[in-house]
Amino acid sequence: MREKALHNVMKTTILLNKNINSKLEEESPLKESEKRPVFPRLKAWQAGFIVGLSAALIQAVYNIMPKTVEGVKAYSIGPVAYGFCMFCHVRDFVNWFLKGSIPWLKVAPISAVVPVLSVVGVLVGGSLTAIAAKDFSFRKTTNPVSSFIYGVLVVFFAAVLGACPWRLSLRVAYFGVVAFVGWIFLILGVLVATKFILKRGGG
Amino acid sequence: MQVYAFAIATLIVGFVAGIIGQRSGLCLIGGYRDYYLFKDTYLLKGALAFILAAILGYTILAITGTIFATGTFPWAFYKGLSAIPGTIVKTTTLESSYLVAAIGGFGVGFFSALAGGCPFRQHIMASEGSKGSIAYVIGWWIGVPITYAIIYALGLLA
Repeated sequence: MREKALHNVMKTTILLNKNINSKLEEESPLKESEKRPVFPRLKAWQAGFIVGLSAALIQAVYNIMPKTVEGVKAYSIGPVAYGFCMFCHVRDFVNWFLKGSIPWLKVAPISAVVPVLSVVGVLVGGSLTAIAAKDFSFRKTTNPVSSFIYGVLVVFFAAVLGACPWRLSLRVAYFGVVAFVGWIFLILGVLVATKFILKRGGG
Repeated sequence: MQVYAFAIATLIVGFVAGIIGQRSGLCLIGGYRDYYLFKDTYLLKGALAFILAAILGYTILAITGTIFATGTFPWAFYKGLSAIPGTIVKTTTLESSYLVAAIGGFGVGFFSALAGGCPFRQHIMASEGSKGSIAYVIGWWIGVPITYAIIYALGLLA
């Protein structure tokens, strides 16, 4: 029974994180000339290392940022471990885009002046690479309605945490004790959810 | 002029992260899940390499004296058990900041694992054309002002 559930989860996982290698095998009947162009693939640890290092080093750019914006003190001690965040940078971009027109969207004043563009960079870089590597195709994966709800739920808890998993990792690397506790609970949440999926028989 | 250097720098980091993320399938949530399910360490190595590389990067900045907020790294050494600012929930005591981190961390981990990937991975899959992930990303962006409105209405906004 457990094996069957595990098999189901494995199937869902593969469906969700569609591995490019497995797609390569599907497309192998194609002629040699029609095969995807050779595009260097990275191992996850190499990717993690490069992104982690650049997300930490970008912190140096804050040195040249103005300490005050239109007379308002921008930061008291600086945005610490702020190099890369899917939540904070989206929020700051939204705030810049709306020119602070939502009164309850209280964010750092700097974001009203400067657009924080990292998430735009992720979307542009990701889609350009996907098109170049012939990975781009509109495909149905998970139920869009439940995915939409998951998006709203995760962003809610990310706001409570004040970080997405990436900035949380940056904070752990900054040796924040509270962040470490959050990180332990994040892993716990993943384990509980995985157990839940296993019990449900792989959604 | 200086402020645009910041915008360009974040754009470059995001662009590089987008390319690398697409080429490697890096996902921080997936690492813990795959290790628990299949004892597969491929993505877990990515998550741990991210933290180690960030420690290395911050150490380089601290040694060369180019870190923005001097006297904050390592945080636990200078600031003790206090929280790195960032949460949008009002925390008055030290205990409440731990509680908020625990609730937020558990919620992010739980629902990200149900959704099948961390927010970064979902953005990458959306840019590859996955319809489920596009819905997730729309929910994510719309969710930001909604979240602020809910927490503001509850009177908990910092």
